[in-house]
Amino acid sequence: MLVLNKLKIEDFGPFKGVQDLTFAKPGKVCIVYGENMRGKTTLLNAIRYAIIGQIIGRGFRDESIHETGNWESAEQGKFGFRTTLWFDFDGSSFELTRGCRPREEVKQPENDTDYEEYVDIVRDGKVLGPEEREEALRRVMSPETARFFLFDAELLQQYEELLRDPAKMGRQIRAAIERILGVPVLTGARARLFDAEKDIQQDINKAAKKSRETNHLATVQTQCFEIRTQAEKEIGHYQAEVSRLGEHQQSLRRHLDRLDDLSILQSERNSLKQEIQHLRSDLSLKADKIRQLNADLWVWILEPEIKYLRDSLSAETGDWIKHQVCLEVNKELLGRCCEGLESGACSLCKTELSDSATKVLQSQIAELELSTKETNSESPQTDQLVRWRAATSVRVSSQVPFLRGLLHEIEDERIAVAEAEEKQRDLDREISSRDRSDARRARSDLETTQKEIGVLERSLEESQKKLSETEDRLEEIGQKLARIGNPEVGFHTHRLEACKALHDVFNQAVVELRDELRKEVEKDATRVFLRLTTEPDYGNLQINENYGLQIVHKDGHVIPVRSAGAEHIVALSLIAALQKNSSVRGPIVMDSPFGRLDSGHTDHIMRSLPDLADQVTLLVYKSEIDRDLAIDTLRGRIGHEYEIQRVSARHSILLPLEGNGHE
Amino acid sequence: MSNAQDKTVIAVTPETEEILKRVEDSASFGDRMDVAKLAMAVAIKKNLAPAKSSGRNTRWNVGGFDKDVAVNVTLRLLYPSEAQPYRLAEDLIEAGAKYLNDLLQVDGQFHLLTFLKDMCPEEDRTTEADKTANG
Repeated sequence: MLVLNKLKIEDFGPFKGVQDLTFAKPGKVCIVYGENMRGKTTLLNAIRYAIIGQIIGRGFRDESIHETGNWESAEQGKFGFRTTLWFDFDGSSFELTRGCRPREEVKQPENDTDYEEYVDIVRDGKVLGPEEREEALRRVMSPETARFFLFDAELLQQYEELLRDPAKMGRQIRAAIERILGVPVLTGARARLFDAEKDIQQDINKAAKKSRETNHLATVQTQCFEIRTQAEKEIGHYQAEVSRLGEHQQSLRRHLDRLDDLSILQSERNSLKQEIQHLRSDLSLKADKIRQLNADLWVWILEPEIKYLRDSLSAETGDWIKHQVCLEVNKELLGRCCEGLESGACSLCKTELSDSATKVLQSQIAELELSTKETNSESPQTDQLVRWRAATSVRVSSQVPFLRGLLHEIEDERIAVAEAEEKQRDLDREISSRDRSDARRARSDLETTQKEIGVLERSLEESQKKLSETEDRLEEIGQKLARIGNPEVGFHTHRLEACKALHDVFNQAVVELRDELRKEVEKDATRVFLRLTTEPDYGNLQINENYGLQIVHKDGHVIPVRSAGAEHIVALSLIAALQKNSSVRGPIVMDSPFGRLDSGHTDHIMRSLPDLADQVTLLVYKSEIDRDLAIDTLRGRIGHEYEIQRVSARHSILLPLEGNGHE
Repeated sequence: MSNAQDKTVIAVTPETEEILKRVEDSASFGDRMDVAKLAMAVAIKKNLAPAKSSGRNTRWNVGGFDKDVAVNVTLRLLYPSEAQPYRLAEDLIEAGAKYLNDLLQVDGQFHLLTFLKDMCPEEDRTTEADKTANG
């Protein structure tokens, strides 16, 4: 069983410099969150490259290694990339390093041929030599089996096509399914027996050539051998070509499907354009407002100084005004008192003054005369009054906080514009890569490929017919030779019959093994499917000869048309069942597996994740699955969580997230 | 105090003119005159000695420079013994421009937000307090 422990990647795609990913232990799930175009698929490719040395791009094309290296590092003169994977397999610990670097003589690599790739593997602390290394890598995982462990939505779609129209699927995938199920153990042995039959036929031929009686039949037999070899070669060639072109055809169909999505991308780009325009116009309005405000900025800066002076001047001047009022009142009183003293009567009510009242009046006059003199000595300077008036006339209602707020808003909006423009550039690149001429080329290529497949299939049929006729002819010759009664020929004929009988046994064994495995896959796929589906009326899945699965209603009827979501669930069920029945057990890494599913299906898959494989790593975008929901659903079964954070369009970082119960 | 001999135009040296232009170009100012007043305020705020430099070129008429006489009033308020506020304004602009030039040395740009932090720290504290109060 393969258990991944840790991955170190260096300058791989947007992952600039050295970055680490620790996988969850068996029984737990590792989740990596990341928005679109941050590097989730690249991370899946980094894991795939670390295990099998393959980088797969869109349409299942091999990606260029030159373009896989980090662009920012390349701009700084550092080319190439490297992955190191620590894993356990069959009781041993491995450290597997793969990478590529520019060839010694190349200073500025321009394409893949300017690089050399390297692989180093350490098993239990011992560096393996080239032969041991190849053997170990072959045993751990082959590119054919890796597709069942490391997959994205595009690969899942390939299985959906297998489920929808198995006849159109390449032999390669069916062969891969049988390989992961262990069928080649028997088919390989059967092929050896077939080779042995041919060897015995050669022995018969040699023996027949020795006798005059049988010599002419032996000559015809030799000619038949040659025709058979030729026909077998042709069949092998045509089958390989049909399979290759079949894969190419599928890849072109997917490519055309993507080109059909062009209008969605164009609409997204138009929305972005509008958003940028709106932001720019808002920025322009804010800049105008700031220009207006900045005309008074100088006086707001001096606000504390002006306020301080105004307050202190107001205090001083205010006291003087109070004194001035008192002085006026006192003068008025003094005048009235003096008038009363002179007339001997009250100046207000004209009542005659008594002696005691005259004394009080005299004392009051003395006090008023004194206060009037003191007040005179405290009167302010004229310039102070001028300054006080100036201080009150200066506008100091500072709008600095408002200005500051506007400046912060402008900063945020500029960042938003830069981000939107970057996204727009990405979309422009994506759109230009799907231009109309590309679509025309792809359609014409598809047409040519279909014609080529047609021609090849006809040639294949002819060669198969030729082979079948030759086999019949050889059988006939064999019977004739046996009838003639040459003892040596008779001996080899007995050997041939024994070999044929054994071949029939193995033929039967292969049929029975396939039937058995199909039943097991059907049973396990049904079990997983019923856990994942949200439709209670679905009864089971039914498998056909080509591993295609159909949904069967509880009433026994096959559901003829399936939704995209249902197909997605069936494909996941098939993968889980293949995993369960596989001769190789390993982890699964899924990129954006919930894209087309509703929340009910997503929830069911999340709950079943730990049962789908021993070790699960999920690469998801946030809108695909909410983090709180994931934590709640998996309840302590999350081993590690990461977030792919954007630094720039060409630089992302893997940031570990903390959480309860994480390893 | 009389201002009979005070200046009727504001003049600046070519060096100061260049600094004012750079600030105007890298921040949002509608007129270079606004930057000149900002330089004057910086000199006052930072207690810089008025710079008595020579070789100045006439730039603005005081009527246009100080339409609402706010500069005149402010300088009279802050410098009560100064009889010629516009002459003082010129010298303060020269001193303040040198300070602005130091700010430009960091990356060639005038960062208004950083400048406000330096010139209006009270505002910053209030904002922080407000932020805390608002949770």
